[in-house]
Amino acid sequence: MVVTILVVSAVKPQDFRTCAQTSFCRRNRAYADKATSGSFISPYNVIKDTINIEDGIISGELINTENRVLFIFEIHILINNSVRIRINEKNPLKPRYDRVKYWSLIQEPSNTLEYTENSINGKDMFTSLSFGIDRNHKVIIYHTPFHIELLINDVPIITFNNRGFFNFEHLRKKDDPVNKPELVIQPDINAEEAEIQTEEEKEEKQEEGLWEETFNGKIDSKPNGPESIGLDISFPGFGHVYGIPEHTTTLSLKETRGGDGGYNDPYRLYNLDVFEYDLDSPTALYGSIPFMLAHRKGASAAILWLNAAETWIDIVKSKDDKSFLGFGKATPSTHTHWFSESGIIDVFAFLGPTTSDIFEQYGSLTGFTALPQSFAIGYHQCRWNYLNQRDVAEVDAGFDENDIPYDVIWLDIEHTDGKKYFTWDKTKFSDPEKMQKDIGRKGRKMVTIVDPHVKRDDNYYIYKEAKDLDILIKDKDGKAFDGWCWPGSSVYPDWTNPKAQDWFVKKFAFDQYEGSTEYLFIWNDMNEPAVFSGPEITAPKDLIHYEGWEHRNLHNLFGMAFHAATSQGLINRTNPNHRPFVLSRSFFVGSQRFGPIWTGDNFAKWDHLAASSPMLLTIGISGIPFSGADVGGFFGNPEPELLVRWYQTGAFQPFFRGHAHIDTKRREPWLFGEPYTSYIRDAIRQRYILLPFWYTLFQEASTNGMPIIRPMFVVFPDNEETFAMEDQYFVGNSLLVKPITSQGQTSTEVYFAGKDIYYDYYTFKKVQGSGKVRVDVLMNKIPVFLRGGSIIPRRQRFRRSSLAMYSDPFTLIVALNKKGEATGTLYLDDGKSYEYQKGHYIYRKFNFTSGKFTSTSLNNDQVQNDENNYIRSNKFIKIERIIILGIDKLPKKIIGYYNDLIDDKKELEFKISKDIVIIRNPKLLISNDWTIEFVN
Amino acid sequence: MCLDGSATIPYESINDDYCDCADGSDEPGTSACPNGKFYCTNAGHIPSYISSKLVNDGVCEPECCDGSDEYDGKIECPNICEKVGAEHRKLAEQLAKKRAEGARIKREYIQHGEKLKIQLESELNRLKNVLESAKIKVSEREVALKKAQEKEEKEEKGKVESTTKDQVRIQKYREKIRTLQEREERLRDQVNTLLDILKNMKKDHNPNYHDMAVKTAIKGYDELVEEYESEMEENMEFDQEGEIDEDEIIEEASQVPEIDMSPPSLSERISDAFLTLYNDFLETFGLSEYVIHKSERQFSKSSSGGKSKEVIAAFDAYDKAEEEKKNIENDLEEINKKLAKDYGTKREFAKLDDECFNHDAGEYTYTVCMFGKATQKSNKDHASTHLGYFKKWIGAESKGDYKYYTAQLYDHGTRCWNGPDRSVKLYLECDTENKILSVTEPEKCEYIIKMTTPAICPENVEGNKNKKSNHEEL
Repeated sequence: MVVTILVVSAVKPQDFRTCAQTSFCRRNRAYADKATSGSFISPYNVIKDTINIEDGIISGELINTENRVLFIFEIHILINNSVRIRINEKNPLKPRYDRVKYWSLIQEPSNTLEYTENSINGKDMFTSLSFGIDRNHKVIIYHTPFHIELLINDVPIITFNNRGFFNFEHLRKKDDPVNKPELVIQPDINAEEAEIQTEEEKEEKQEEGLWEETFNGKIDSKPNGPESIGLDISFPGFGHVYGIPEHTTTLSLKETRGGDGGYNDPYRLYNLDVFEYDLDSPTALYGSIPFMLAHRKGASAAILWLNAAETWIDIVKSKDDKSFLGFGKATPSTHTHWFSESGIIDVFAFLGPTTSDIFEQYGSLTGFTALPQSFAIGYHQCRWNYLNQRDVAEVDAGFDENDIPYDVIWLDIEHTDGKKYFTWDKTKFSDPEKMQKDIGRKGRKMVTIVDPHVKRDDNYYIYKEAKDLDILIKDKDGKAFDGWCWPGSSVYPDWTNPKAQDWFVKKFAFDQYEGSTEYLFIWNDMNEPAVFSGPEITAPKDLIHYEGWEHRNLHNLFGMAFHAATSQGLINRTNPNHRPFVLSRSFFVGSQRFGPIWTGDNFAKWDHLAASSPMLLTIGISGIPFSGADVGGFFGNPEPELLVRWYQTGAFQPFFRGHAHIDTKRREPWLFGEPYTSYIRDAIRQRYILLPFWYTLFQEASTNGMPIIRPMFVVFPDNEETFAMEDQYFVGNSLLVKPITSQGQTSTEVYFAGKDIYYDYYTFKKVQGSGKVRVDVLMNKIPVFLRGGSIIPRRQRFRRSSLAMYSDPFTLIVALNKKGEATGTLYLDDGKSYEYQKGHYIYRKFNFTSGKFTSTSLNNDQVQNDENNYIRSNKFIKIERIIILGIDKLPKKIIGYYNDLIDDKKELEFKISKDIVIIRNPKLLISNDWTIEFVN
Repeated sequence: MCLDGSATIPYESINDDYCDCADGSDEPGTSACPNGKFYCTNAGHIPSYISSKLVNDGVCEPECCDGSDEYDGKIECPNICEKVGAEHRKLAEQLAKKRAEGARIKREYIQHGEKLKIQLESELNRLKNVLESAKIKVSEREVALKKAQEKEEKEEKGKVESTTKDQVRIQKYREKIRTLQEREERLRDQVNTLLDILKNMKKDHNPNYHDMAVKTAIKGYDELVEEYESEMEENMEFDQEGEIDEDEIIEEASQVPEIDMSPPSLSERISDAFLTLYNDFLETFGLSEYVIHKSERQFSKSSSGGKSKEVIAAFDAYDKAEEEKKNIENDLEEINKKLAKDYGTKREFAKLDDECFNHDAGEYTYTVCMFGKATQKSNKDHASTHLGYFKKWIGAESKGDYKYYTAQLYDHGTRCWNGPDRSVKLYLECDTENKILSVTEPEKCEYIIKMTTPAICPENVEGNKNKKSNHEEL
């Protein structure tokens, strides 16, 4: 008998359920324990003669030999080197939830016909199929017991049910005695002291939570009884797995069944409004993406567990796994166990083989990040709350007086009349349109908050309309669900109802949202949803949604459905459409299509600053590249040094917003005096100087899914030293950033991977040495390095907003590698409309090789240059400066010419200081192809 | 040559949209230099320099009313100098008028302040004399009282027996009952204070903090209130039987045989236990300073029984003289305080001392009584919150700075739940009227009140006009 002793570490463990307090988690973990013990054999077998292979789909039936329940499985061989596995009951008592795909996938994925059925040896025992153009990928379905292996060149990459954890709780009637779930007992880990359980107690434990569960006095009525699904998925030969945000854990995920440094609870995915969250924890936060990436030298693979119910993931690693060919030695393997409370099994496997392939494969399925308006990647100034119109004007003026650029000022919940979103507290904001126009006149924007709860107030038009349309979420008794949030008693429109979506989208029209202008954008908070009076501060699971589905089935996608409607509302309000900007706190698979997300209510503490990097890196590789953490920390008052360090880090994270709780001291960038104001000004200006570089990365992310900030292992996939690195990262492939996350630091260790040359980003000096190098740290900046081989476009004129830089000239930084080469890209468009989709943009490729520097077009052929509206109205944007680093032979002469005017060569002015060449004002137009030659 | 002499550049490099000079002097007409200055002629208005970074940024600068800052074709900035100039002149005129009127009123204030000072000083002198005679009176009566007491003592020696034990006991009970009544009243006050604190906590607590300690406290409070109210109902019935007559009880008590007074009664023990808990509570929530002093008040006043009429009369006379003296001393103190108050360089704020100004800000009405206290009153339930007492002038570090007398601090207001003591910074602007312009709470419980007053208007209007009018109001 195994007896575990409970260890509790969380600050407020009582508010949120642990695995032991969650009956389906207990059952599936117990099932896994039974499966790992000795003689267990998985009871699920393929019924041989049901197997059918057609149009890239292998389908068939499974039987649970213990209770004779039948299941249908389908294995889809998809284009893009991906495989989909679906399993559902053959004859469920009633349909199981299978609507997640409509929210998360951009379309039903296509099957490939590039496959060959493998004959024939042992056809009774397994079914095998080769796929891919070279047919070097293989799927093998073993029949008895049922398990699946995915192989590349006959090396297993991902396996399913090899450990026999597959557990599909079929729907049943409560009083049907034969239909008790097959359960094993997990020792009561709640027991403070070791105690031996009797058989009766075990029996009782087994029954507990099947048809009703209680937590903190709140009852989940569970009318459908147990309906969980579970499956083990292993990555043989892979020592590291990443992803499954949102948690405050390490980039390379930890083990979850105890052991050295491991957690005791599984990683939990269940969108929650967690107050003052803990660091280094597997507990759930605001968003959920059941996507996991495995990586080793030479291969990457990933899976998407497409399920929006509460989900837990156990991870264990083995050092010596003999069950897989070719990895008999000390190669580590990672074994995961996924289980969700309801729904069906719908899993995607992405076979890479590189990480960038996987990002593309995942993005092709769930959508790439939406290209934001260009202001969205500037600096955002937020606070709960700017008090009134005058306060807004004063903060806005403060930026100008202190010469600090910014793009957006935000209004939190206090701007509303009694927390009724879409209204204004007119005593504080008497003329919101004028306020927005005053801000907008300077090229800036505003954001107001719109939350998903609706105040129960018959005089509130939003409430009345939602009630009249009958689109409110119902409680289990069929009444409109009443929950408590900011306005007090509130209702929650059902964002999964198409009628609610259609209605809400219209609410953002300028004539509907009183006091809104084209300068106004939106922020969705509390969309997990937060329900102060609910279990775990969220919605009860037995609430009823559209088409009668229980909330438990779709909890994790609910926030995204709200985000989607808001985003569409902003698109539709103008004609022609403009790109939306909507920040969301809750997120799910596909949220990247609707806008950025942030990491919620963090703390003004050094360790929270440090935690922001692994959190954002993880979210980025899980399909949402546009994310940020509140600069300065939401709760508490940062000391000036921490605030400065946070700005310096935030300037190199995708979404860059200062935000603070209502109880904190004011902390606008200039309030701490010198030298801090200058430090913060410098940090924000660095962001603005690099906006062309960031914008180009956003454009590329929107077409190929590459994260904008990238973990070291993504940039150096064959360097094992980088695989768990999370305290330094890359912006694109060019800038290496090392945030400073502790007080009084005067030096830090930076890891310079590979044989590349690195240059200090600020001084352009070459870094001496490679591998781990100790570098000095000053208070006015964090270490940032240019990787040799890259070309970075910058705009160096100090302006007050991104829009004010619209036609500024460019400076190109050319950082040569050892071979004296470098490349880079630059993407430009109007930063606002969808014209770019019709070809109205500039996309340049810069290339430096053999003393020749060229700019050539990457535009596709949608429109000719003279019909390209963006080029036509921005013809005169020029290059004002080119800085070349690391040049071997200093030039005697530099000649430039347009490629279509090859006879009109001009000598360019330049200056040399040490090994840096600065070309002065070449005046070359950004939109044209040109060449610069270096003559020795 | 750059203006700072840092470099020599060819003529073509001037205004070629590339920054060559560290001081930005080679690009006065473009945005190329980060520290450059762009000159706007603004014909019809006042010429101005704007920062280079505002050139060709797609925004028409108000400082450049001739529209010359935007010339790259991105945006058309019309020349509005004529209109702006006219408006400016009109405003400047109004401002000058306002300042002149403000200065006139201020001169009145100064006169008032000086007059008041003289009055106070003469009153001070008068009171000092009065105090001297009051002191003499006190010592005379003290002597008379002593004499009367000595006389009585002698007479009493002969008839000790006549004072019965009962009388002593009754006297003791009388005292005991008075003490108990006072104590009960005190406790009742404290309970009410506590209930108020909890009530406010319930009202003001932040539901976003899922703080179980607070939630439990609120729940406990709700239960207590319910219980308390039902108890009150019962007590009402009891109370209807009428007021307790002290003498009646004493009468009854005199029939009762001797009671041992030494061990504390049950009720005393309960209230002691309650007091301990109560003090712990105050300590925990940091409230001691608000309430504890009440329990320290001493009510006992020594008086022994059985005094003769003469003694009592002498005692009363002495008491009266003593009281007179105290009153005079208090008045003196008041005057000294007023004289010591910092009413500005020329006592121009003396006029405003204790003047109260209200501002209705929708949810609340704010009141500032100058040099006194600031309060916030709810317009819904008229619950009043103390925001702080006048502490000092804070317009600048030193009195020498002319800004010193432009802002006041009021602090040590009621403490915020989960926050600091409330405080107010009062900022003053010159105008002809004393009026609160705005009240804001930029940080929790730290209020900023802006107010106009003639008391800070520049006296010498001519001297200040040119320098200030330009940027202050535009």
